[in-house]
Amino acid sequence: MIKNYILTAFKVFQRRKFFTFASLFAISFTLVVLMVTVSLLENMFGPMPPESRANRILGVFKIQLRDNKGTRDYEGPPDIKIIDQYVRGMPGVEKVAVLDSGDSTKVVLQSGEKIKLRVKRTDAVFWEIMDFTFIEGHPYTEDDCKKNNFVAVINETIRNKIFGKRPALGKWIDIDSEKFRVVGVVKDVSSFRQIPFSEIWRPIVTQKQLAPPGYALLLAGSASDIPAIKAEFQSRLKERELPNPGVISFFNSENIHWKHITSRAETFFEMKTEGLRSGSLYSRLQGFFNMKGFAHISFNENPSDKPDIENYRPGSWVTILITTMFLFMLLPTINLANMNISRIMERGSEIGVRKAFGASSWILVGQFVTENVILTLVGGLLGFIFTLSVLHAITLSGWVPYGDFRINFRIFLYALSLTLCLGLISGVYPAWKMSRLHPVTALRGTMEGENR
Amino acid sequence: MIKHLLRLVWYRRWVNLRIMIQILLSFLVVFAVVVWATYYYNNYRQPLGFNYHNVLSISATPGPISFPPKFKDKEDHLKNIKKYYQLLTAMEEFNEVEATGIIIRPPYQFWGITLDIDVPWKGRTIHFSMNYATEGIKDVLNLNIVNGRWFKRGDEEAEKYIPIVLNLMQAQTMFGDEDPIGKIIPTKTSAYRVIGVMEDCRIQGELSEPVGYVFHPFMANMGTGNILVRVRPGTTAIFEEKVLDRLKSDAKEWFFDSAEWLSNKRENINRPILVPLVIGWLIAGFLLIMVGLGLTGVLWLNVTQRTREIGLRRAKGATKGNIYRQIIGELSIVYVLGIVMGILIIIQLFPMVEFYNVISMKVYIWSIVISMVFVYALSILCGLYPGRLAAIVNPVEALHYE
Repeated sequence: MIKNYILTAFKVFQRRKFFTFASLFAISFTLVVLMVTVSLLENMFGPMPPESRANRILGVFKIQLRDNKGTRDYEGPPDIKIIDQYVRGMPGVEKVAVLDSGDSTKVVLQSGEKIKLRVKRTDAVFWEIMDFTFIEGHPYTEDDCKKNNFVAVINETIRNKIFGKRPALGKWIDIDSEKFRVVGVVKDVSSFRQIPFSEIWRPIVTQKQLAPPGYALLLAGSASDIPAIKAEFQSRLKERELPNPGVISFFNSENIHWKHITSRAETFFEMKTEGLRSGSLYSRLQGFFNMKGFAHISFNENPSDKPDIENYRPGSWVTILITTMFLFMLLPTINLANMNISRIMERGSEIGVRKAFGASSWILVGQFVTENVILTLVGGLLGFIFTLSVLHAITLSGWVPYGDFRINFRIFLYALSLTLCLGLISGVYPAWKMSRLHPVTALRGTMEGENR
Repeated sequence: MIKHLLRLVWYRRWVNLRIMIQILLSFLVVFAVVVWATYYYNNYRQPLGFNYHNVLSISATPGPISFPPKFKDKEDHLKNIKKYYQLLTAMEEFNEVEATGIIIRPPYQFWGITLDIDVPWKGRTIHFSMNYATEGIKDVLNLNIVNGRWFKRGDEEAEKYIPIVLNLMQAQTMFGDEDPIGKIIPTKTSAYRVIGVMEDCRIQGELSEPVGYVFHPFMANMGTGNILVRVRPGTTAIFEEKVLDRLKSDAKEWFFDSAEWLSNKRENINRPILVPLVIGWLIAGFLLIMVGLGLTGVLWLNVTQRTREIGLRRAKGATKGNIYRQIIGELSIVYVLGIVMGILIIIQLFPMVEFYNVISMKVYIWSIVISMVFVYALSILCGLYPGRLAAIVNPVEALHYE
């Protein structure tokens, strides 16, 4: 029976080539967009090395301070005293790391040529929260950070650029005219992973001050502890005194005593999407797409009723993704359904004959849905192949430095089920409508039933 | 004629409803990307207000560095500013240099330090988006002063009234048609005096929205200042090295970031938001091709099903043109219905969607008009072939059809 359906299906596909092409185009294109988008987002927010524990990581990226007179405010990264006072030692938090958002620097190659590279300062705990793959050596230690040792971890590409493909362990590199000893070489990290990404990592000096804009990362014991940690952080902000005297002084002559602090512990996704909620369209888009998106400091004098940094819950990124995908699929689905309705009506005489010979409505629905699902699967296969080549092209294009986009099995399964949904939804309604045609009307081949 | 077409559309209401939904959804998709592009284009058309060619930017932080910036007292400011001016003088010794100056927030930098002040003014609160600059910046960036004057050396030390320069937009919001020069603006902590008005200056780049902007004399105790150097056209890259070496030897405990040309910074700030736009358009483009194929298919079958009806009309004396116009006319009616629904949805829905709720009315209306034209062109394009098929129906064969 099924074999018969399949044979009929291919005959039908060949009869009206234009429609077959239009359907295949719609299905494969929809699939390409969905899979590429999911893959890009997954590369940005999803759990994958070196952020395999992304669902357990929170960050404190931004604080807001007000002074006692309410005439000034500071919005920007926290400093080390604030991290010590509020962030460290919370129940449920396994580790706290401190790092900055990265900077560009000049490195001298052996040929004497200077190249611009990204450098990020981190503490030793950072390497414990992330799971980098070390090709050579190991991360720097707490001791290195304390003593401000000139050591660095570099990525594979940079090692190959500077030292050829030879081991770099223990060798020296020249960063901004200072000599650093290489203690480790890690696999490249995609620049989409904004938190761990860099080309060179060096120790941060946390004893004195947190050098250029930095932030804290927290590793929760388990993902279910996250709400409790967020709540604990909020209550600490309310209860504990700000480290005195005022940690951040303003640009006027007298020192200012900051009194009021607000902040939040949030996931990277929450931090990114929060930026979409305020400012001009331009600054929202810059905030989302600009990779330096969280190294921002603003001072306000006489701030007029600016809202506090309160807790913001955008919902998980998976939910948002699914909603967007649903909305996106609306148009292709309706487009396919429309075409299917028109096509099926064209086969009135076939339906009429089969009905006259006793085929039940259900059998007919089954046949047409099967046909549609076969078409969808063929489209799905094409879409899958196109997706692979699009992702490959993005990887090669260099739009995303160090980007390496692949489809993992999970994404493939999502896509497959979505394709099947597309096939079923766009096939069932037309098939049902057609199966209810009266055999006589159908045999006459005039589409009276369809007009009304 | 229209009444007749409406009746025909109504008679085949279910087919037409499906076509309408498709047109409606395509309209929404097109609108979503058009609004984005219109917004950028509308911003791009406004005057930029400065010249970014041949300008090198070097960030200079007085040492020893501390973070967060420790803004100490007046003495620090005076000490640092002296040093900054010494460095500027050293820069001017180079043959290649045309002008130099220091600015806190250089052009084309979205991230960094912003200093904003809210000022009570005539019962309202006026927002000051502040930037801090020295005398030389006017010549480096070719700022255009339309009224009053720009800063001169010594303004940094002003005691009672701090001189400020407004851009046209800020002057317009605060003073309307009055002459702003010499006006005093008191705040809780100090007082400003307006000394000049300049053309709108969009320091964040040509794609950003024009905003009110205020220049304040340079403050040397706020952490990092950016030295901007305008050089003669044709200056080579070796110049960067020479300048950096000179700066480093002149101020040993200061920290200098690597030099960057404003034209590079411009590219760096525009790329992250233009690439997503291009991708958005690509996706929308393919969606429209898909819709186009689908619509053509539906209309085509529609026409084949109506062969008898069309044949009858031909037999009763309708010309080819009449039939053609009938098909396109029906499609246009369906289109109008779809667009009306679409506009209702846009008006109701989009103001609630993040991203789309901050767009000015002008951009909104233009986007609707552009999207309408776009989708109409698409619909008609899809109707052309089926329309022609209908027009060449042979009445004799058509009536013979069954």
